[in-house]
Amino acid sequence: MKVGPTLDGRLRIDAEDEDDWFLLGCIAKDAAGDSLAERYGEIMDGEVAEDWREYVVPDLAEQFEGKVVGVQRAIDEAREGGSGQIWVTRETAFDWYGALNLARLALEERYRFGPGRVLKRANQDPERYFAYIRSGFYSAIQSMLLGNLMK
Amino acid sequence: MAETDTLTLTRTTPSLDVPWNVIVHDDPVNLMDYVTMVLMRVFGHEAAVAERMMMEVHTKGKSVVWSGGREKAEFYVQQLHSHQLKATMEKVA
Repeated sequence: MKVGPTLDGRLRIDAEDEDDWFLLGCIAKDAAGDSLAERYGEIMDGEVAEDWREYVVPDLAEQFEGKVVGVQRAIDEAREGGSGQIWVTRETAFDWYGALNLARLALEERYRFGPGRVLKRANQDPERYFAYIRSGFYSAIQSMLLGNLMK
Repeated sequence: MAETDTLTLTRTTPSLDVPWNVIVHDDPVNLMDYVTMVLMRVFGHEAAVAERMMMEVHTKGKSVVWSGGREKAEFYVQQLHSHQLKATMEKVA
């Protein structure tokens, strides 16, 4: 897979084989495995918590799902179109960043990698290690989005 | 004078607009530049101010990023959650 900024201010992701498509498909699967909106509701002060759960949490959950669905749709369209190229524009950069963030937050919630920890492959549960690699991959794309499209 | 008079009693309860703090908490996922950018976008903070707050979140675990009325505090926390930052609000002690 190749990922890089283009001269016209977009980010291009080239999926080159099945492994790449599989990895890109993991973004939505990882993000779906978490209920971040509810977790945010749980940390709110008692005085506002009830209203928060009733009004804000459903809205946030819908927003988060929208980002993930949008990214998965872009991946599916690129795959079905046969070009293998995914273009991220300034208009869609925040949704991409958000979907990748949701995936990373969900992986962190599940595997507790911790801040800045470097995991060695040896002695690691393979599933956990693959999740760690995915999180690093998502983070690398986020850095490119942040540095090139979002500021 | 009528046999039954109506006495109207008006009780005034002082309603103090207690200020609330909006707090951003550290998490191991959000990138430092992203946190700074969100603080600038949501609150309109200058880059230097947002960066100082971000560093406080990073080094001390949390930072008070805004203080004021409850309704606006709720709005800001919602905005921060929408950007996937871990944020809470609490009454100023």
